[in-house]
Amino acid sequence: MNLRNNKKSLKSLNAKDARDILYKTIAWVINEPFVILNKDLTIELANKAFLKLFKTTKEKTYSQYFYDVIGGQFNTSEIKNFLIKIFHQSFRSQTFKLESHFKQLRGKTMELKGRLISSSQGTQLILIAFGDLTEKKRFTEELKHEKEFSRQVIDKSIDGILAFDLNYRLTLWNPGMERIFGLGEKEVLGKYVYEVVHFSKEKKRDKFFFNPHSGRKVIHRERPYFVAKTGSYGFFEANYSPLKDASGQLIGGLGVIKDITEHKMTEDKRRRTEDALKGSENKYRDLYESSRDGIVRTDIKGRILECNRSYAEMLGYSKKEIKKLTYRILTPLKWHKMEEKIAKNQIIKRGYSDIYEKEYIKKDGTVFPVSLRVWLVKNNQGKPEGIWGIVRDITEHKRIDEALRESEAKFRSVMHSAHDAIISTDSAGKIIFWNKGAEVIFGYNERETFGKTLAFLMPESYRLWHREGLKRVSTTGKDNLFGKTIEMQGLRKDGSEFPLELSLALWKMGEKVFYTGIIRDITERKELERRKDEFISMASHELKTPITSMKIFTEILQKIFEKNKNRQTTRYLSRIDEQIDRLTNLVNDLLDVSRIQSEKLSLRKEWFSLRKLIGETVEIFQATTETHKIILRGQMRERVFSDKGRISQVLVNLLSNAVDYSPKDSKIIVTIKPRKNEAFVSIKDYGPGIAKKHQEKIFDPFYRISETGVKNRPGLGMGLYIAASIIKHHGGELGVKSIEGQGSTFYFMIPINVS
Amino acid sequence: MKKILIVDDDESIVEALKNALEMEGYHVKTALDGREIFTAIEGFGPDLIILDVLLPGQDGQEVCRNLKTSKTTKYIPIIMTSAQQISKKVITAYGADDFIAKPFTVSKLLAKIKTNLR
Repeated sequence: MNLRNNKKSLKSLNAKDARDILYKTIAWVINEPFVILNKDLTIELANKAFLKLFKTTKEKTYSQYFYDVIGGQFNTSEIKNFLIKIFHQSFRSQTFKLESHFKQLRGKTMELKGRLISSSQGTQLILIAFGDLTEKKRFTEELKHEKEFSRQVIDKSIDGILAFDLNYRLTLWNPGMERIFGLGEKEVLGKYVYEVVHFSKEKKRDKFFFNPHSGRKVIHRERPYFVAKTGSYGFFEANYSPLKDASGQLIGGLGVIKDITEHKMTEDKRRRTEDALKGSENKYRDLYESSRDGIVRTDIKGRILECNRSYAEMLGYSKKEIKKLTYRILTPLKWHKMEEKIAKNQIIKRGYSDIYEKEYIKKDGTVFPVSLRVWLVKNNQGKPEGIWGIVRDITEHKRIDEALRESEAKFRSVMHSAHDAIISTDSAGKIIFWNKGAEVIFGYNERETFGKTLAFLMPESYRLWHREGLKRVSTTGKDNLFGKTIEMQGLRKDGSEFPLELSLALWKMGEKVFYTGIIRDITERKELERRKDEFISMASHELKTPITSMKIFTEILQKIFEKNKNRQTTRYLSRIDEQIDRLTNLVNDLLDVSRIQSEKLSLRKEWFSLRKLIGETVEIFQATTETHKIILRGQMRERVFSDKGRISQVLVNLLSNAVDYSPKDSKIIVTIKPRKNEAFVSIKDYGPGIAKKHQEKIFDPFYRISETGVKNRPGLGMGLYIAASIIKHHGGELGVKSIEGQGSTFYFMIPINVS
Repeated sequence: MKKILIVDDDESIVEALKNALEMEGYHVKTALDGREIFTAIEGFGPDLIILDVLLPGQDGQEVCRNLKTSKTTKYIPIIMTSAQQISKKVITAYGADDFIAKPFTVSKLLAKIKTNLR
């Protein structure tokens, strides 16, 4: 059947034909180009779009060979194979596709879809529809680019970008998100959004922030966030929108997140400051009035416009009175020039002055010092209108300042006029203060020593000791030298060594530590000590030598006269001998006192039985004493480590006192007993006793009880002083208990079992 | 007869002692300082020396040490005398055999002489 025939028979319309015509019309106007081929590959039908595509007409197309119409425009063998496939298909109505490049269609890529169809007459026809793939290709390509672009945008974005599916499981988490929340993509993808980031500090599941089903975009400003895993928190701003796929299907939500933590912090701060300022505005008035400093405003001519209470009070005027005055009236003349200079060079030039000092005159005429600073006030046009001044009365300050300066000057002059060297160092031992005394003693002046360490002031042998001491103090902050006086050698500038006495003190100023040493040149004192020692030794020798020969000669004479039986001469000679012994004792006592006072009393300690020593002493003493009965009581097995000779000296001294100060035929009771770790010895007499007022003083050197009615015993008042000193040197104590009229008990304790 | 050498710078003491000891039957020679001492020893050959600690020219202690280190004199007993108290330790350190503090009684000195001559 020929379609052309059909067309001709359009005139005779029946229902079937009518439907045919409708189809054809639709086919004609359909946008997609197509062509229907007969089995012989001539074109049976082509639509308008096809004709347009190939820029041809019906006439040039119909009944023409398909190849000819599109001939040369594509690969013939390709299209042949395509057609063959269609003809020999095993199933009906199978569609075949062919993508081909049409050179003459401006290089368009077309997709050919071909299928076998049957005409109403039952003949087989081929329908080939043409699709323009160029657009589609371009679109795919563009899509690819776009995807790449999006990926880049997502990756490089400073903002965080996240996407999630309808179950709120994360599907996208860009590096921006990682930066904000500190969590990596791998950690979060597939997790629920609210598992990862909490949008409030509470951990509870948030009332969710965005519902994509709403279909609307949502903007959140200033939302707090809290990252459970890292514990970090802050604020963010977010734009959410529903996320749709290419087909427009809702697949989830997309969010763009911006971290505004820092911004918010500064914003909050600013707001707080603003609030504070707003509040303080009200306080300005109070501050102005209650300020201790005087505040004053004047016009450009110096007339006072307003001032606070302090300003008026400072000057002794009432506020009313002061408003009639000018700045200049209140200022002594001698300051006017200076103030004009300040006004010109500072206030006008840069709007304010440095703080400067001047004086004011009070209402009562007194002049007092002030310090002040002045600001320029401009009107709306920017022209100087007047000034503000803040004024402080510095009378007290000046007074304190002067007092301080005076006291510092005094202190300095004391430090400098001191004969002792006063040297201060910092914690490293570097000299920071060096007085005149130090200059005199060491020979260096202040400039030569400043900043040096002390080592050069001492002989080599002391330097290590000094260094270690300094180290010890700087690490422990302590040293047993502080507060003590030590003797050491010093080294003068001329290289000579001299003995010195050093007192060390540590003082702190804030965190810093300083040392001050007060040094006294003790060369003279040492020399005096040496001379005194020498004197004692010489005196001892010089006094005892004549006594020695006297005593020997007396003895020789005694022997001679004994032989001759000249009794009277013998008796006289024994008197001489006694007096020589007394003189010897006096000399010995004097030397002892001298030794004690120059701290040269030395003990020759040994182990001995004190009980035995006392027994012997009492025995010998009793042998020479007929007037008193000496009774010894008590036992002690313990031995003592003491100077036997000196203890004996004490016993003899106490026994002679007891004999001398008690009436004839009275008893003297000597008691010895061990007590705790000491030996206790007492000597009791039945004499007149010692008045309370004398009791403490009898152990002082050269103290003599001189009272009327009491018979004075010859002596220099050295015995008890020496005895007490000897016992003290043994680590013991000598004391007395006495009631007037009832006798006295002298007692002493010395340690036992101590070596 | 035992021979005793007395060394002391004080002539009065030397004279008194010489007389006192001679009365007791000793043969006595005297020296006034350290320089005389060795010549005195050589010619005299004393059995005991009484030596004062403080001697002009030469310290008695030094003299004592010299005597006690010399072969010929080290067996001669020495009793040192002094106006000062001197500890036993110091005395033995110089090698002296005994010590007596000035002033002393002749009887006490004689007792020491007898002890040291034994």
